[in-house]
Amino acid sequence: MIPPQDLLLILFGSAIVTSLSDIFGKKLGVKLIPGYIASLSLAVTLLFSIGLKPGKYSPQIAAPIPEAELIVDGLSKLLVQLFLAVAASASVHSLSYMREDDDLGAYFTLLLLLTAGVAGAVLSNDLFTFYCFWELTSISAYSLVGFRWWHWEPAEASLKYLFIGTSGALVTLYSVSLVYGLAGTTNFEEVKLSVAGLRGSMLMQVISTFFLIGLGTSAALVPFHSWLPDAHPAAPSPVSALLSGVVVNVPLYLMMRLYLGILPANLNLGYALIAMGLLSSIFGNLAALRQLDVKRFLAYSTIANVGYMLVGLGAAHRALSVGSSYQAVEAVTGMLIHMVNHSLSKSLLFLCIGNAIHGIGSRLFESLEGYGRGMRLTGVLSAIGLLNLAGIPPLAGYWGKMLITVGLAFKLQDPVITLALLLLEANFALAAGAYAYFIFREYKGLKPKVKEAPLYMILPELALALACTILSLNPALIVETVRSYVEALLGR
Amino acid sequence: MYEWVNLLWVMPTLCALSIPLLSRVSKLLRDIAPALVCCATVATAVLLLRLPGRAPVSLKFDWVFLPGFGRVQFGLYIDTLSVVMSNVVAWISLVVFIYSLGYMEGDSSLDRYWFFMLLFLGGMELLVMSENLIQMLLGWEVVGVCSFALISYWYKDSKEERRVRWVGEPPEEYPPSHCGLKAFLVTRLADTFIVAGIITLSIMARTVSFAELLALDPGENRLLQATLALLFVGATGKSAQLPFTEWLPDAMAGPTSASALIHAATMVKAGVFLTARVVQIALAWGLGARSPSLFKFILWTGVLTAFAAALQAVVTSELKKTLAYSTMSQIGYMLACLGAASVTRELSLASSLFHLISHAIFKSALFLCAGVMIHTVGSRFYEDLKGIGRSMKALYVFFAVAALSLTGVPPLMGFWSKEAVLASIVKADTLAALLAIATAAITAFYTVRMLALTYGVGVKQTSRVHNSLKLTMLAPCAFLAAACLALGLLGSTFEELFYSAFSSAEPGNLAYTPFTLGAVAAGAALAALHYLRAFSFPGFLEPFRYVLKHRLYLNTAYYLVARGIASMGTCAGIFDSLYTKALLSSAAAANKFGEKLKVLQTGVLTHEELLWVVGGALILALLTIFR
Repeated sequence: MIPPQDLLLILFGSAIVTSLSDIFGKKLGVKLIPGYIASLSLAVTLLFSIGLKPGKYSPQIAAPIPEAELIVDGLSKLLVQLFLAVAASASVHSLSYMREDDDLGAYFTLLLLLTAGVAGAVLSNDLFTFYCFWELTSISAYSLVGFRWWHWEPAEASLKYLFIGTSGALVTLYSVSLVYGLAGTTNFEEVKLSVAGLRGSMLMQVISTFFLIGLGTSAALVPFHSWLPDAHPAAPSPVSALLSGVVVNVPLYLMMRLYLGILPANLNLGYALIAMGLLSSIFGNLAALRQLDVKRFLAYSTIANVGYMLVGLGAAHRALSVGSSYQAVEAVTGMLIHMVNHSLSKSLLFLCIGNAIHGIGSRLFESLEGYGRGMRLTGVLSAIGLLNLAGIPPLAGYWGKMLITVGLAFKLQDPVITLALLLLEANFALAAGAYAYFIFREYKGLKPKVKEAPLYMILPELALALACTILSLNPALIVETVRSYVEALLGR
Repeated sequence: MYEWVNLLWVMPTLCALSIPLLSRVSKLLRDIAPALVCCATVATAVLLLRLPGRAPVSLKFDWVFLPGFGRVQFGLYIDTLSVVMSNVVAWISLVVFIYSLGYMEGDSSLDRYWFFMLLFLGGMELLVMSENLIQMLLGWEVVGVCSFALISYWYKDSKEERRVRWVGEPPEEYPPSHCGLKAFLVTRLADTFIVAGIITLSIMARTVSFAELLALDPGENRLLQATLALLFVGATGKSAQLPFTEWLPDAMAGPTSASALIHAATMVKAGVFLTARVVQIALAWGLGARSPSLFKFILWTGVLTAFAAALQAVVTSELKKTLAYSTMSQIGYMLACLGAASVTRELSLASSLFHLISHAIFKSALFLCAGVMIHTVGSRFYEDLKGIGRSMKALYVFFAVAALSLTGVPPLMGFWSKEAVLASIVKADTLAALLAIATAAITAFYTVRMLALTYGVGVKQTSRVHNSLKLTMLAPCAFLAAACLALGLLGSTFEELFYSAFSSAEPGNLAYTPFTLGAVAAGAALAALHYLRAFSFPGFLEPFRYVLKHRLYLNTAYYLVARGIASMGTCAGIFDSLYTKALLSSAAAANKFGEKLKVLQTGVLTHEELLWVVGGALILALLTIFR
């Protein structure tokens, strides 16, 4: 049984060791030593995370705010494991992908810090602790996007991400300060008790909206998304996998905790969430259609998928505010399952595309066309990711979308909801078509002269594809587990 | 303790699956293995014969789980009916398999032939031994698929072999692939009723197991009684009874060995088997006395089919088609006999089954002999077969013995079984009995016609003989003809033995024999006059002949319906192309809109921060106004 702070300490400790090991690595002439250490420590942390013991912990890590608290429950444990798995995959993939780069000590240290930030943010039980860890993640992410700063593209993308991300972070911080001023604490349970009476007040609405804007910026919701389509293509592929598979999910998780239970429920906010989610998914899917750059295509698809999750959250919020806890449970379960599936398949896809980009040396669709013929295994693995993402029943990706639909589809006499349902389903269909076209292009045209990717690139992809396959073969495995966690969370 | 009975269906199925493998090892092994496996199946079936007379045994293993229904059990139900059926299937299969060694020799796709023949044997044994309806349906569909595959065995439809391998005369002449599909579709249509029956039973009675259904008390539940009618209608499809008759005459496009096994001796009897089960259940529910309408329905379906099919057999110009119509007619007898069970109860079951056995023997003998004749001459038409009997004397004797057994001439086996069947029908319904006796006369007529035409009375030269006769083909014919004779001579002894297996039944009496024999003699005499003495029929019969020749226009009606459905398909095709167009144009619109959205993503940081601020402010304003 391991307390969560030990898990975080391992990550921080290995970050220090990784950055120091770079010096020895350079002396010994083994450039990849930091990479091995980082991958190993991520794998070990993933193993340790199995032993996380449920409960609340108050380590004295943030001195000015004495009540800093960490929480381990089913949901946070599941997500920490998921994010650690994706991070470990990205790290192993980087061993090959980043082989030609210099400064790998910095790269892998940043990777570890990003992961530590994510784990801390998911495990935190108070707003300020969350904010600290989240800033750590964001700053690592800005740096990783701009890792190849001597090219104009990453430099520009990183700077843009920094500006927009910081704007969002500041709004989040302002909102946290409002909550602190209102409740005198940032601990979730205590905040919940203090603000319960403020339902429908102007201040409460401002706080909720600021959280939506601030966290929505990190989650890349339209209209706060503009950093993402530039950041993804500019970043190295494993970092893109982390951005789409991990970074955009954490603010959504926090929004879920805030809007379902801590901040008082409000029907109009539910509509706003649904509307924003739909806007994101429509924008993401339509914009994805016209992209010439594969990674940009995937980036827009991430915006769309985040939109689905927000629709799920909005549906749950609406259900709670009209008092139908059954639909709320279904919608949140759908949202979380979609999060898991999207995280696994999107990072799998970014890694696979990384193989192709690494082999062919271009990010453009027209140069990559037919890579599935040259790189058989990579082609099959990316097809698995795409099919799962398309949500073809009975694959795992289907269940999340279905449960979100179930959670949204009640009291249909409300024309807004009917319209929302139609738009959502149209989006699912459009996206499935776009992914199918992607698979087609994977095998289209002449066979490019490219060899199959090296082992370090294939291994993590195999692991992610295996996870997708297992979830597809036995979706009950995750659906039932997540549903029981959600029921516990919503007190049902 | 009876788990070994599963070997009945497991052995042939496994052998079927290993045929492609065996074929790689050695072609000889592939041809011999089915006969050996069939011997083993016969041995297993014979071992079962020790069991009748005791209480039925029902073996059960958990099988599939159906939501809302519970667990369906996989099991075997061993009672007299299933034991008799499994023996008939195994024995006839063995004979036909040996015959096939000669008949199919040199065919280029024997892997396929043996695969489907063995799969058929396995499916048929599964069908007759199954403990519940769902499992029975599985076997039912397996034999359906095998029937389809074997009818369209010569699926290339080559025009050169039209006179042997096609069926019918223009405009109703069809190639094998067409016939296979037709058989499949028509029987499928009837299967829908079985599926409906099974669904209704599982909802209303909460069980599909035969043993549990027999023990059920339906009370006054009319729906449950109607369910039995649904099952019976399904059964008529497989047995080619009215109105599902039209597939069987065309099924003659398959190899004659397959016709003998599937479309004469066994698969078409699956309908009789299912009807017998239905009748057993109906009797156990006490429907015989309370509401005999189900029994009337069965009785009249059987009698009418027997009559109509016998009439059509009279006018057909192909040897195999005569036999096909005769099969339908004889199965009509069996069903009519089952329909009489409301009066004669167990006796009807025994008589019907008795006729089933004797029909299986003489009809497969007839088919096997006919196969040799067609094989030798290279044509299925009577006009080419004239005189074949004279050049193949021994074979013709076997053929004649089996044909006389079909007519019901004492002391052959057919005589005893037909008397038993007629005795049951007479007790149930006089009008039906009159029709049945008339059918016996017509049967005699077309049998004598068949014998006369193949013998070639009045034809001086004998037919051209293409192929030499093989022992593997002659011996099975001899064996079956001898069985007709031997079992007929043992007649009443065999009958008593058989009837004692059905606990409460006694053999039927021979009180009506003079009438039936008179009718048979009249029919035979008329045919003999016409074909031997050139006696011509009066002209007013010509329109009847015309209608009969056109298959009572039932076939035409089927094709009309099929064409209607096909034109509905055309309509759906038009709709589909419109829909595709709409889909494509909406996709183009989405693409265009995506292009327009590019404007939003200028990539200039100031623009994007502006978007962020304006968007955020808008959301804030909206949410604070509408809170």
